Amino acid sequence: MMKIRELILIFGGLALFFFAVTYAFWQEGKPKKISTPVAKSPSEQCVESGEYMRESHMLVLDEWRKSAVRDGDRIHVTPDGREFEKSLSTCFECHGSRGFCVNCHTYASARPNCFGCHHEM
Amino acid sequence: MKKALMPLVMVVLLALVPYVAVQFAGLDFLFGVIVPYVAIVVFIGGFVYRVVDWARSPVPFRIPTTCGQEKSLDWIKQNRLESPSNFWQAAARVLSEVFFFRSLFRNTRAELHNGPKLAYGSSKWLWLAGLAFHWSMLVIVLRHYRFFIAKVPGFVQLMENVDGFLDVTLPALYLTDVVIVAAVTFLVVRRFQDAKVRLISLPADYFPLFMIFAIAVVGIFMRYITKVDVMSVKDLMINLVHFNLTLPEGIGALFYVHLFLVCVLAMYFPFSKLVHMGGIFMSPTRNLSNNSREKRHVNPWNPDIKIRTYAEYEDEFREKMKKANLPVEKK
Repeated sequence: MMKIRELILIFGGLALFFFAVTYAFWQEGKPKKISTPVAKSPSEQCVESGEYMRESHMLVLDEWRKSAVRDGDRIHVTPDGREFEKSLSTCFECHGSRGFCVNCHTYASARPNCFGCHHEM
Repeated sequence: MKKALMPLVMVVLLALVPYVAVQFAGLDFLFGVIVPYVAIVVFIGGFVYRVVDWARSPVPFRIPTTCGQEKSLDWIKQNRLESPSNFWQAAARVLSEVFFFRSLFRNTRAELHNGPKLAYGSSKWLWLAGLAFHWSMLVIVLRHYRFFIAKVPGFVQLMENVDGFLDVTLPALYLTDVVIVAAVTFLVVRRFQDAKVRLISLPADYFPLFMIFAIAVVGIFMRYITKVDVMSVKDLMINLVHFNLTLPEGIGALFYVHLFLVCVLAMYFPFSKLVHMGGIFMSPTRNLSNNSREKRHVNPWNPDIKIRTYAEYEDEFREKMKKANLPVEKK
């Protein structure tokens, strides 16, 4: 016969395993849609398509940082010939302020280090 | 080589299935909702089944494998960790194995030199790569809670910060991403490179390694190179854990490759060598205390044999024995 202590250990361990695996299922609250903020003037086209920017805006910013800071190239030219100054301030002309970023970034736990120096609140 | 080729082909096929299905056949719902639910049910159910099956197996005797002095006379020093004599020492031994892989630390390598001379040497690489792999895996799995919990818990954020402390590349490079790829690569190369290990390696050894490698590489691609929309991915996961079966639009097919490979690995988990995650705790050669000289362990399924002593035999036949002139003990 199995000893009580063994049963407690084994089923305690299984309960711990079950809880760890289903941890996310126990959270409180309903799933709510995080509102994706809309640019101030949606008519104007961003440097890339909206879809691309949603997924890869950090790549654009990273490229801007490198070329602006290291090569002194401060003007971004889009494929269709429009020019933008490489600066967070350019983004914020349409996209408001840092608040535009925060919602999604907090939700996805992606913490950019831009705001350590730029656009501090 | 055939033993490694089949698993490799399987992993490539498994990776292509969701890619083709989502990209060209629009089966996002199958791969985004149905497969993950099936996978988690099979994973938990299979794991519980295996552990309960082990728990029901009788372990009548003490069979720990030890490599130290067992508890003996007072003046002989016992090796408490290597030859535990009570529950707490045995527990310490199991946990030190789980957290630090002490038995792998004893790994040796045999080499045949000219002479012929056989030489044994300590070989810590397997221990190091195994430890690096498992700890990275743990950190990576815990880090993924950020996709499953709406308000990301503090310990996950702490882990992300520590893991990404180098702060190079734009989504900050995670050390564990580098370590897990390096460690899995080592573990694969190790099986190819040494003829003795190659001989005993089976498809079931290569398959999980290739799977984990593929999952890690696809994950790294999604984070650093070909992006997917993280918000939709998190929406999907939050929906799933709330049993809300709606699929957000516009998640890249690469994500479904990652998710499907994880689901396959989860379903494969309980029925393969990977279940050593539970097995390490259930091994009688590790979790028993070595106290069979101190305590009598009776086999619980010994049949209840009716014993008849000689005294009882003589009591029954004494008169007959006397008549036949046979010697009796009691007059």
